[in-house]
Amino acid sequence: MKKMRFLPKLGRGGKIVRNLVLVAGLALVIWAQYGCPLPTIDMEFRRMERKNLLPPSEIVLHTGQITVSHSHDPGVPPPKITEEQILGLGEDYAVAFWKHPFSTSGNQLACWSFAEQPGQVKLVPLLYTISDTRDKDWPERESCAAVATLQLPEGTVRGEMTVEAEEGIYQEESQVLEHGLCLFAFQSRLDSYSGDWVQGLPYTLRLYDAAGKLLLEQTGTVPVRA
Amino acid sequence: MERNYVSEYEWLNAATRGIRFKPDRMAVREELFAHLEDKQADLRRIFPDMTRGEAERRALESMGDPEALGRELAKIHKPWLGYLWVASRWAAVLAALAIAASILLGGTWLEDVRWRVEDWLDNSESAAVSQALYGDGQPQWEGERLAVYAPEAEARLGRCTISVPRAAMWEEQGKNVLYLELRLSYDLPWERSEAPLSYLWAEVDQRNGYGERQGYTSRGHRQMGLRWVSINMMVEDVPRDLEYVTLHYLPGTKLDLRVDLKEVAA
Repeated sequence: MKKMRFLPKLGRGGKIVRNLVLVAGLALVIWAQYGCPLPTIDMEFRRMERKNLLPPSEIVLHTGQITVSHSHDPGVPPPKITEEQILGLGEDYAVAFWKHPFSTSGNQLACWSFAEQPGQVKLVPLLYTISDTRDKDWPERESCAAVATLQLPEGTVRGEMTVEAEEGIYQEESQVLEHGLCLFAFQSRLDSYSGDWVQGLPYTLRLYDAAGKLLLEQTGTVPVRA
Repeated sequence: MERNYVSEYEWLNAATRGIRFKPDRMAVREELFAHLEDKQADLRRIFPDMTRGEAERRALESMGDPEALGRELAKIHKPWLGYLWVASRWAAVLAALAIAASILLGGTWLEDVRWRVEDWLDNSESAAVSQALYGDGQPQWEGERLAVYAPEAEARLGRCTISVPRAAMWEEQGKNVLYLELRLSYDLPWERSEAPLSYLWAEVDQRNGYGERQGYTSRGHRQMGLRWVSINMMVEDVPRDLEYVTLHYLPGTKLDLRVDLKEVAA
């Protein structure tokens, strides 16, 4: 019986093209399976802004590029940032973006409004993941609330921030980072692993110049995400 | 009587030496060898008395100069095309294996298919909920519809139109609940996203002493089309004579979409 041939016999060039088209198709499926990730976190952030119908903001911070200073308990290793985050600043709002390491479906976006604090230093509570040896069950991971302060007065080199929680007062210090902002890394409370515990709490912010002179003292409530 | 293997072997080597891609070299060698065999067979058929060695010698002579032939063959059989062909085969096999592995190792593939099926099922269920809320469908919950509105509210946000084509007031468990059919229509189908639905919130007419954030719950699941998503936003515990609500979105967008509640039916 004569063998039926449904596809034309291909030469070597044809076979190469067929294989490459097949590879491209399969690669597209794999790419789509991981949520069509883009090459850079900036591009992911811009796509997330578009997806959430936000206008493009000015990127003021890549948290993956900085080291956070903190005054945590002795024996606790320094912060180990595992997630990449971006902080964008708009006219009267800030937008933070968390990139999931494996899938774009895990990416997150959060917004804070500054409409009610015109003229003030802007505060944005971010999240960090740090190592914490205090917890024996899960010593590798703990969420840490890091409050970014933006639009600091000229001459600021150092800041202090105090947050008043129910059980006590938490205080952290920060030098001004290269992006012109301070980042106060508050360790989580032992009874709470929620990294956003600082949101909605009263705070006091003090900013100093190189001579140690107090430039600004600001009190208020740490903004809650919109 | 012996065959002149050495000269035949050398002739074939000389003719195929210039072909750098090994699979091609072997194939051409086999083909030339078959030609030689055919020529020898022809000669011996025509001249039955011709010895095997003589037939081989004459067949080789008739094939021409192996060096010149080799140069022509080397021009035709470019090595990069051969290597590209092999590489493309391996790439196709590896890509297929990667997909198979991701399916077998419980990647998001099967989960995604399941979600899509569930979405499809939810769509029809949610359409029935919408029909009951604003049309003549049968509600699957306890409550009485008090009014249906045609707000005609619409606003642009990025490459998306936010609209509220229908609304209805219901009385449920002794409280008035306002339902807003919230629809996001995207200019580009691939930009369709349900994420904004969770950030939209309603501010109830402040003259009535409200002004709180509302609308984070919904009746039924969201519905989806090629370029749109919609949800039945619930605004709970509102006055019966409510005149309008205002929809807001994330800071930075300055969305103040006033939804006038023009009654069209009970």
